[in-house]
Amino acid sequence: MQYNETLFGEKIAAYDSSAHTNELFKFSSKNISVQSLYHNNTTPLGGNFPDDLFYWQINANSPYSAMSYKNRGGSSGAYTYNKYDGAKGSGNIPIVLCTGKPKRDSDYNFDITGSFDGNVSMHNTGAESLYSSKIKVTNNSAPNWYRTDSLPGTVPTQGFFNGTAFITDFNYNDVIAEIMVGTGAYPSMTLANYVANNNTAASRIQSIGVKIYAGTLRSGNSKIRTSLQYPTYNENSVQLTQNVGFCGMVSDYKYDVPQVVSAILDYPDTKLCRTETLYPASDYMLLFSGNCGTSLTTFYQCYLLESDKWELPEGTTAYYLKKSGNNVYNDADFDYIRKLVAYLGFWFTDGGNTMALLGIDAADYGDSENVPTGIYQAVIDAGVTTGEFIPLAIARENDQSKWGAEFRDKNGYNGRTEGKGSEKDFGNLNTVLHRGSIAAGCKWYGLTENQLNALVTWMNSGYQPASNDQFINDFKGVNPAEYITSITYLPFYPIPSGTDELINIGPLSTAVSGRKITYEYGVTVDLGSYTLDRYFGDFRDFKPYTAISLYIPFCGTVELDAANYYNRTINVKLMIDMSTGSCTGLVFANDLLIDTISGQCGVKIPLAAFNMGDYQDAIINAQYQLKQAERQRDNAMIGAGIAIVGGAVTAGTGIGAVAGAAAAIYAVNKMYDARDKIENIEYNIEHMQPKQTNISTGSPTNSLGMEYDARLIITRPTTLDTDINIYGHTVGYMTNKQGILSDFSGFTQCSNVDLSGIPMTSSELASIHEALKSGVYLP
Amino acid sequence: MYNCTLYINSSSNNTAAKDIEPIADATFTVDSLHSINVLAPDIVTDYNPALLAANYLYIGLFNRYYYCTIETDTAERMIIHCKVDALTTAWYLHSLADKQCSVIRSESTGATDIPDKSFPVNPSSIFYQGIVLPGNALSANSYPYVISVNASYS
Repeated sequence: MQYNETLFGEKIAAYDSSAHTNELFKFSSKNISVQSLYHNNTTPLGGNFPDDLFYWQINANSPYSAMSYKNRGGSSGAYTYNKYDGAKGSGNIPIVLCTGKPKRDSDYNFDITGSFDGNVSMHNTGAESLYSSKIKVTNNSAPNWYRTDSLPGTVPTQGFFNGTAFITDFNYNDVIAEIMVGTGAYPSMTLANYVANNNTAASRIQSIGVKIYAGTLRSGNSKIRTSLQYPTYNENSVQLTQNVGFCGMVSDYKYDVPQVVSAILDYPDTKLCRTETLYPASDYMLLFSGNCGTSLTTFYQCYLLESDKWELPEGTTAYYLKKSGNNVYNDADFDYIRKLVAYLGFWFTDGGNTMALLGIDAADYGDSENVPTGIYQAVIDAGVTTGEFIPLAIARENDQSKWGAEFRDKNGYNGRTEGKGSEKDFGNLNTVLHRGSIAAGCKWYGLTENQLNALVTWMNSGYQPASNDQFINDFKGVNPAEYITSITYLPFYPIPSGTDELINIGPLSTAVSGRKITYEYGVTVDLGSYTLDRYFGDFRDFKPYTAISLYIPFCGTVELDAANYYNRTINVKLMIDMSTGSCTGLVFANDLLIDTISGQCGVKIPLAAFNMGDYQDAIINAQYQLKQAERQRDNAMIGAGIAIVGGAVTAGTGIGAVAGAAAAIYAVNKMYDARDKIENIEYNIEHMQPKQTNISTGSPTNSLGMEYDARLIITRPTTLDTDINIYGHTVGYMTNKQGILSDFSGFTQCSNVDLSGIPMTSSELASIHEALKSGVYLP
Repeated sequence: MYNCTLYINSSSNNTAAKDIEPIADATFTVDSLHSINVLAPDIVTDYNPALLAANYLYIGLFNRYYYCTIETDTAERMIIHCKVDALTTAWYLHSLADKQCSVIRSESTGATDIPDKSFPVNPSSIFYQGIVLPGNALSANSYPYVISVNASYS
């Protein structure tokens, strides 16, 4: 493959050989000349390279691109180690990372025979029936790719990357890299197991294996990320494992003596460790040579990732890095190893619980919701691996295959979608300060209609106090209806499991049962999720062309800003205030709360009750009047006695006796009046009963009659009958790029051009400027 | 005295690198005894029917390409009216391709999220899509009446 600007666009042109870069390239029909393409080996597919296959190639200037190859002179010849001459514009692809064959085997199970600029071809010999359904990458010309020793039979000069794998942990589909540790030659122990169980001097990390992936982890049944392998031959389809197996950096004291040549040749699973020690011979240094020359000195100068060096350890126990003893890995080493793998743009796992996935088909967790923990995905920013990695469960909405396609491989408005990990921001409801429980001071019950009726009946007629004193004592001077702080009709909410329990009103048991509600913070109901993909893949996905709104039951419709939700999972929750029936619709993009809308999902049922204070006031007033009446009666009786005595005294005196008699009669009459009044008041008190609680039923609001599903409503414009190619050729696609004119081709319209240095008249320069602003055709 | 070369240009005027093809006997020498407008020269030469098809001209003396039209007169001469093609001249002769620019529209590359007001979208025809979010946990229950009871004595 020739690296030039025509093939790869401006990305390549921007390369600086002195800079560290880990570019991954995506092959496509634009930059690959496919001679022939077959479906299931027999059906020609023509020359079109399928866009849903992704062939990633490490940049020639990337330090990882310089992983060397081994070849041998014929099937029994001696191995020789060759470095890759990564000079731009020359040499062969040092390593081709092939991904392909998405989920639908019947559609994509094919072989490719073709030529990449005459240097590297994807080739199916036909003789390798075992692998005939896999994509194979070979080289038409020197150098030949090395094929692992573990393959049966002779090693062909035209090697394949899909050699027989001895890394058994790759049986499961969705993990493409793992760290091999253990004491044996090719153990299947994971790193986590190693750390946990192999703390011995003999155990060591042996290699980091990688497996190539295709497609993208997506929701739904298509484009599920699947390894590049034929389903029947999982163990035999690990790609590039031997070629890119390596060990990460360790400190110099952790590494011991380098190997000898014979040991290397006998140990095909090459492992490369980094060390301060420059050793052994240059031949082996070239195995991880970087963009370098032929000497060790050049190696030092050209290895760009770090200023450090790499060495090849021997495949014997003595030279492996150990978990304990003098030469050990620590957590920092492991992290660095993972970072190296991430630089390669791979997914990986560090084992642990993820090993439980062995034998599980990708479809079992191809759905984004089921992505297990412990799998990590490399972050690729603008096509460049950053060395960072994120858990796959978090990155699931991203389309990794598109991360590397920052540059356009197809002109027009059909392009990429964004998905940069750096843009991620995840909220967490757990960050909300915990407030007091709604249950504080109250008990909450869910009642059936019959239970509610029974409760009302109890309050209206079921409770019959024997006396006022009992009534007052029973409810402690509180209106019994006021013990019920709210009644809400809520047709939808999660019913707690369990059994009903008796409801108490104040200290009294009502003999009516209800389902105890134990929500601590109110209740939140999940209304569903949907991953929103872009439709056009261009500006038409946004306002004012596309409008996205979300209907949330009981809340209404909220307009969503599409930019917040594309390529993310929209999750809608309804947070219900059970005391009032009000609710809040919560709209999440992944786990980040973006939009909210208020609504009403319950109907408040009014409590029509008398005022206990008035009742008490009436009693107190009546008691006061009673006391007054009693006092009048007593006074009247005293007055009558005095009059009688006086009358008796004054009877003999005439006028005084008459007056005393009249007073006595008056006093007696008053006494009778007071008695009658007392009796009346006592009667009133006796018959003063509290007005019982009256509970009415409320009518459901209109919202209860509307749709109960959350629904996205997307409106998109329709495009007029337009030939997009003609449009691009005559009008051009919107862009905002800067460069030199030769960076562009076809119809090009500039906002400005620097014409300085051109020896032409001002009027000519003005006309050129005007032409470029109007749009010109560039070659 | 200077040389001219006539071409047939098959490219549009706003093409920087014009597709020009020399015609037979295209190069001829011109004697000029008077002043000449470099940007729009008129050239008089002997009549040659083979040259009538030309529509493009290069004048080495001026180091410029020209659009041209040819007319003949009764003296069997050809008068070639020229107008400089500054765009192609700069492209072919002055490395216009290396000049820095800021491009707002391009056929070869497109920043697809930049709104394109020229794109022919039918504003009166809207496609509606309704998507019910799967996984709705909202379901009716038989305990629809929620009451809260003061728990002071209970």
